[in-house]
Amino acid sequence: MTGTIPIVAVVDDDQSVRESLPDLLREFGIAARVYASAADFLASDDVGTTSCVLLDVAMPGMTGPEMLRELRRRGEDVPVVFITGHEDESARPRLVEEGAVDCLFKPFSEAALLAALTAALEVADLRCSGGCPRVPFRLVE
Amino acid sequence: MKVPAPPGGILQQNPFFVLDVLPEMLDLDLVYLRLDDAAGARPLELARVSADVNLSDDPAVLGRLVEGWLGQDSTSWSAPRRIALAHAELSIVPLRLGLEDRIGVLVVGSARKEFPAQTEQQLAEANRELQLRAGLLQSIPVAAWTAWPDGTPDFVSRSWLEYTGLSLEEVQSSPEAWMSAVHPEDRERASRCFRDSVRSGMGYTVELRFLRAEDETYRWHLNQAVPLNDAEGGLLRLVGTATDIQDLKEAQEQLRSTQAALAHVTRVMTVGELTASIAHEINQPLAGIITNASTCLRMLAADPPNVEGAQETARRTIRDGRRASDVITRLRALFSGEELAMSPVDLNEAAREVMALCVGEMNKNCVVMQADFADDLPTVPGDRTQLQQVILNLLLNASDAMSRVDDRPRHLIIRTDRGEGEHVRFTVQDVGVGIQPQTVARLFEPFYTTKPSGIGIGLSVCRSIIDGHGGRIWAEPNEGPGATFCVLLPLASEGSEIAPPPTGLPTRAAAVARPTGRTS
Repeated sequence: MTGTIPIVAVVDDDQSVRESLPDLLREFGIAARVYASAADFLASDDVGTTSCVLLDVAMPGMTGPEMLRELRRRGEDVPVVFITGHEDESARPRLVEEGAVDCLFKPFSEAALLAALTAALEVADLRCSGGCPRVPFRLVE
Repeated sequence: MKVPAPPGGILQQNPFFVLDVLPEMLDLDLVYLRLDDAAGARPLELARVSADVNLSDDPAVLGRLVEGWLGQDSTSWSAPRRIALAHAELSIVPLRLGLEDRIGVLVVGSARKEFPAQTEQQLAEANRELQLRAGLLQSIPVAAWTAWPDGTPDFVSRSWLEYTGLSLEEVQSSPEAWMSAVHPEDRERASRCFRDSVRSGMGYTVELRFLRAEDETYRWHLNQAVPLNDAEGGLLRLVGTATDIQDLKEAQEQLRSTQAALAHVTRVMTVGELTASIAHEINQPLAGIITNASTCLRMLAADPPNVEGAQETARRTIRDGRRASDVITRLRALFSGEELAMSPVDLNEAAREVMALCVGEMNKNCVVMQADFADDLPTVPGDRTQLQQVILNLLLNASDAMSRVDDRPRHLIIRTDRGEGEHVRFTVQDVGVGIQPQTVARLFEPFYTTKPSGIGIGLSVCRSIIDGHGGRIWAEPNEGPGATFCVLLPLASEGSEIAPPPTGLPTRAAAVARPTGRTS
């Protein structure tokens, strides 16, 4: 594996998610950064260097969909994968319509996470195809 | 500390005052006061004389003059006399003072022709008034007492004596004889309060148990006392009251348990919401468990295996598992299978009860509640307990919303009135942090919360209750600071679980909460 390691941002108010996801992502060969709220992520200097955001839907303060809209308003097209504790398949099309790559329902399997990340990082890759170099990156499956 | 009891009554402590006010009050030309000393020493004599009668104002000289008119033995002075002086004719009236006339004698005189007829009438009136007041003191619904600084009761109202079954002689027999009516565990406290008060010259308030003779039970009393000082600041007596607060205390206790029960039912929610809530609360730790387990497997499968990392993730797996189990326990505690019991509900009364329950909480948060209730508010068909849950929820929410407000009074207005059409409206207006127009629509969604510690079910429960009553609940930002939560309940009984929303609702609401049905 060569090239730039993708950096995934985990934005979730739930501590056990913030603790567990980064380790698994590192096992995938992905670097992870965690944020306890949408405001924390938006206020950080990391938005531009993030390859993908794993974003909780229901959070105190700004919610996931609100943060996604804010990112798009700012012209940030970083791919977003929603994660939510509400098992509600009917919400998926709505959330995808908002511009998310996918929506994962907690608890999600490793396979589902990998699939969503792969799709998201492909999007990230594609959006760079115009100017920036393609990332020769393969997920560790 | 022992302070010797002063002899005689209050009059002996402040005779100058009496002497100064009497001549003016009764238009007198002569006032002579002789106070006998219990120990047999020389009596205290005081005198006031007007210029009109041209007599000596030396008390001793005047005293001999009066003796000349009325006789040597002052205890025999009783009948009024007319005395011819050089320039005027003086009418004098002797008045014995004190219980059994033991304190002394007061001789008053005037050159007025109508004296003493009119004065006697005035005195009789004053006496009647005095007796009325003394009677009042005996019959007011609290026990009253005065006591010497050593603790010996001086005056004890009849009500206290009847209550305790003790006689005045018994309680006056020694400084702390009245303690026999005090609960043994409270005696030391009672004694200390009294002694501290005598020493410091400050009043006190203490709760003590007194034995009620009637049924031989100890009952809590609120005891309050203040010092009574003379003009120089010397302590004359302690004056106090004792009020039976046993019933009040029991009511408070009952209120507390009712409040706890009511606080519990506020967490009740519909089964659908409960299921969703459980799912959400459980899915959080489950996500952690599965993710950790995946990580753990990967770490063990690596070459070489990352045993340390695997152990750490396994530990986190166990912790998240416990968390899931805790959630179940917590949610199970919320469950209560109460039926909807419809009856005509007077919202004013229901709200008043909830406000009474909240007073403690509101005081703690420095929130001032103000009721603005419509008179003649018609009843609405509803489940009283559930509607009170809604009211309680809205009040506590409003209080929470004002918890960080420090630049204005934390004012809460609870209002009832006739809504438009056949409705009754209930509103709660706070001056708290307010609500953003974009969040108004989501406030009533389950799990939506703006509070760090909330799980976002309170308002969603409110909405399902109001929906169940065929009513509407919504929130709107105030023009000034804060928000107003409104509930509209129909007068007609069509409140079933699937009642259609009433028509003709006000449209000023920034967002009207819609029934909870999930979109598909």
